Amino acid sequence: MNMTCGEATIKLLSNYGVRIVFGIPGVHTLDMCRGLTDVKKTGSMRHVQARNEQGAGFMAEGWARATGEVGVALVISGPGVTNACTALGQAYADSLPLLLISAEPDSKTIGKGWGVLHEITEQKKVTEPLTAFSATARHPADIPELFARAFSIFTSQRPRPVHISIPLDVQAEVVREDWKPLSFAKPLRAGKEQIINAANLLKLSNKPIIMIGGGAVNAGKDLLPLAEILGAVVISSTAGKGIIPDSHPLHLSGSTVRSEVQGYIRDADMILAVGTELAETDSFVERLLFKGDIIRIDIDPSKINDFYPAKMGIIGDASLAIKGLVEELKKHDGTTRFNSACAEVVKIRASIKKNLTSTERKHQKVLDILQEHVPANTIFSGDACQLVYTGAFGFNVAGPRQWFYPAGFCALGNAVPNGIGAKLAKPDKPVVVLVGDGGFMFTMPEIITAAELRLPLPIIIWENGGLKQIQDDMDNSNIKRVGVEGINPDFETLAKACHCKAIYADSDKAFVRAISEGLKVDCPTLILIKENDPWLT
Amino acid sequence: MNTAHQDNGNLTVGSTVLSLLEKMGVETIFGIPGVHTIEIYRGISKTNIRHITPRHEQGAGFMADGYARVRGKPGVCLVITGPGMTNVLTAMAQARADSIPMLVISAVNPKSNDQNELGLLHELPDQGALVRQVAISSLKVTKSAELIPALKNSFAKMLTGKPGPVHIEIPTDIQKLLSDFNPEDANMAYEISEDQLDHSIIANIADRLNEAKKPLMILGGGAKACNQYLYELIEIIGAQAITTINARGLLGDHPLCIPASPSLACVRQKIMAADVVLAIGTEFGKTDFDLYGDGGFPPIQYLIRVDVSEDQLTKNVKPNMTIKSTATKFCDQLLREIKSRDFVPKEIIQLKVHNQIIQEKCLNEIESKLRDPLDLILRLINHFPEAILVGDSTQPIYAGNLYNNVKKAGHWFNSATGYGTLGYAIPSALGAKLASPISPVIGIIGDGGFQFTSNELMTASDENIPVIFIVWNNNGYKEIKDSMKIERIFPVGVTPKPPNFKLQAESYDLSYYLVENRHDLIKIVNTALETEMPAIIEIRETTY
Repeated sequence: MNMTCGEATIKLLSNYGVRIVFGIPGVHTLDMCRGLTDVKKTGSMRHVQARNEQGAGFMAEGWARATGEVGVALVISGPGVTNACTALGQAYADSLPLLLISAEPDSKTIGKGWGVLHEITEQKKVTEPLTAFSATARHPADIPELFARAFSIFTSQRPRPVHISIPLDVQAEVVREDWKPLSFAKPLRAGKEQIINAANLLKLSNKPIIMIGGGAVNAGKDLLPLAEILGAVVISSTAGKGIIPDSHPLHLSGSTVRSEVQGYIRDADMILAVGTELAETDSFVERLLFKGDIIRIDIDPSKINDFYPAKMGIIGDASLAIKGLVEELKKHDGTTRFNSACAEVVKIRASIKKNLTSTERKHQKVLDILQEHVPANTIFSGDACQLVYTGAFGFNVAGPRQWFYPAGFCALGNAVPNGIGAKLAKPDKPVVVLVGDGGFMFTMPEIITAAELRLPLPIIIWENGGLKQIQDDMDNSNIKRVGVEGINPDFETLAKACHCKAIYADSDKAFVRAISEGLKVDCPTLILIKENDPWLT
Repeated sequence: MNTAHQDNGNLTVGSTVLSLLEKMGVETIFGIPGVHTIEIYRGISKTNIRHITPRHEQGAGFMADGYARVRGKPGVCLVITGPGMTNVLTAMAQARADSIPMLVISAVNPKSNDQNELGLLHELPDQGALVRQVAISSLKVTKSAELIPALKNSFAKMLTGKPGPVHIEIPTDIQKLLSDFNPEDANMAYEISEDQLDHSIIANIADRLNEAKKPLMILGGGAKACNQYLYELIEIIGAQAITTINARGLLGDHPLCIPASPSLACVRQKIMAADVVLAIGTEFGKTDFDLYGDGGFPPIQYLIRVDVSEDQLTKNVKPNMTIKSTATKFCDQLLREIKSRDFVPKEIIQLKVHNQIIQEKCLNEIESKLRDPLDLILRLINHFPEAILVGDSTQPIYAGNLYNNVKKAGHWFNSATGYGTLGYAIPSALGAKLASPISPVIGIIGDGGFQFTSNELMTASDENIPVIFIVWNNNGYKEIKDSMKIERIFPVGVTPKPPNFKLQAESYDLSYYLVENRHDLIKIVNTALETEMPAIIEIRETTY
């Protein structure tokens, strides 16, 4: 069947198993839109229409966070691409598979500066620093090739976003073949010898710890026996939350930011770091202190020796490597340490609890209620806000991909659209958004998207009068507050205007009711919590 | 680290930035503070600069754009690295496409210059490479001594030659270093070099124009600065003048002005018939000259192009003669030359009659679906001649871009040209109002575009910036929906559910009015203007 290249592109996506694209159509993507609507030709592809391409990108990001599979955004050239850039930056920093497909003006105009609609100097260069690669398809035949390259990055390397631009004239060309996905490369398996050496190092350790990050997301069921055999405390970054259950007696979840935990890390004599950058954004100190040696397992060779040179580096898939370690260590008996390690964890958890600031205690109160009243499989989509900072260590999720937080790039406003993407990806799981009032306003218009899609989506807005973290930072640096105290809209009326519900949670009871209703109704519910309300103290 | 606070008499590099900018004439900045810029914010209390906090950095960029267009000086943004930078890109690209001077100052991580990926907060490897695609320059300050030269270079770059957005990034560690200068003593004057014009070329052009039977001028955005000379010039040489979108309002409602798009057939006929065309400050861009992509822009008999930028002089349409010059200098010298000789004044009464006919022809040529939208624009212009109309990519603006007789230079601008963004009008109108508090400012936006940046209405409320936002509600992205129908594509993703505008206004503490039909328009806009509060005026296409 003859198709335009635009239609064939959609068909190819469908052949790769993509079911939803997030975007905003434009005159520059018409040929691809043709593919979205002609089911007979291109298979069934759902188009979810965001309110701003940034929202589309963030939704695709939420899809990727929830599933580990590629989230796809489809946008026009120029402003569509620059609007989506922040989402690319997030996916790049947090190693998520995200595919941005965009139009580009007619090939013959590229780089000429003729002033054509949506013209930009060189589109692919804008996204180059934000992607694994960014390429323009010069001919239809480039597209299956570029897709194959993209999908092999998504599945067998450190996942990173990819941007593919298709000029108007290329989209319109006729394609006669049915493009099929190429086979993917398999994840890299670390060498046997390295695994044996690492196992031997771990055997010698008296006080090992395991630090895990987003790169270990699929390694949970192997990490659990490893930790138990070694009697090692597991310390996860925010991205590592839930890889083993946060409530596991050996797990200090999402807590690298706590000084109580940093002290414990310092004193360990062997650190097995799996799929983690040990990055500043998870500790908020420039350098963690390590007395012990570090063994790093990472799929990305550049991560073996960065801030923290490794005694030993293992390049490969985390799950395969950990499985190998478990095999090697099976005969080893670290269980004598198991009980004392658990006791350490109990002690550290207690001291964290004791040392919470008064504001953190308010967060903890809300988090505890949530813990009790939402199902264990709930996904939490968090923004950069103080409630989420506390939740990183103060809330227990049961499994991986249940706690979203924009650790690296740390944009504001991703939580609502991330939540929309997650809910569409996992319709059977409850999704709860956690966001500050400042961050909420960044992408406020996307709540209409969720309403239009009839998504049950409780959105917990922590109202502290603007950009509280920066207020605190200014106060601490003796800087007169400026630009951080914006007033808020009347959220209840705003919710109505956007076809959503709103509940002001002014007591424990009201909050519990709000959550339960928010999870039931088929539209977003803004649940408003005011930091200065007495019920929080 | 070598840090200091102003209370011990020593200043950090970061804390001097705003004082230096104030010396360069900056009165207002648009920004969202973050951990990475607080050292720069430390200096704000020493200045009289007004800080406007938008709800998203894209809003900051568009506000700076609107501010620059109206104030006639650069709009300034202050953002964090990473997401702050990527959030402002779209606005910078729009400013670049429309040659608007804009300065974006951002932070950057200390190590990012070696492009190591360390997972630092807001890390964006090679930020400069990305920004250079939308900025005309991007400089990194790597030591204290580089700050002042970077500011001067950037201002010179923005204001000489073809204006556009410029970027300066200041690493967080450099922000905290002690400065090796005192901002109070700093000399912030910068050189603007201007080329001398060759007199023989001016004489040559004067000859041509004198001999011409049907001379014609085409004015682009680059001609904005020379408006004072244009009236005299067109009358002496007896030329009608076509204004592009970014020049609309030049020449006011002078009867020789044709405020219409060169994409219209009747305007093109005029161009074809002219024996000399003098084009000033226009790139002959597609969004003006070939809006419908029909390639029907006619051959020009003899084309003289004047532009401040060399590479603009030959773009899109081949000239017979080129002059690299600012519009002002060129017009000034040409006028002197013409006045110094016995220039035969042309009979312009006849031309004026022609002009009326042309206007009617334009109006007749405009497709029927744009008639109502155009009616809206023309009513606003006729009743509120002092108003600045800031437009989004929306049908009333498309219509107005084809033809409108706005009375004042700089009082008609929008994002439907060039980069073609949605969501521009709300923040840009706020910037415009801040730049000219005495002018009524009316933002015109569709319901689809509205949803891109409706969060910035909260900024209007918070800062009490009394702008009128007219929402043309046609239930979605009408223009794209129409294109799909023409292309026989089943409409997909083009009918985003709009909010309830009345409630949205209420939630932001804005006034709200519904225009039931066109006859109520003026009364309602008048009421809204009188209350001096920001307001949403909703117009439903079907009842207009």
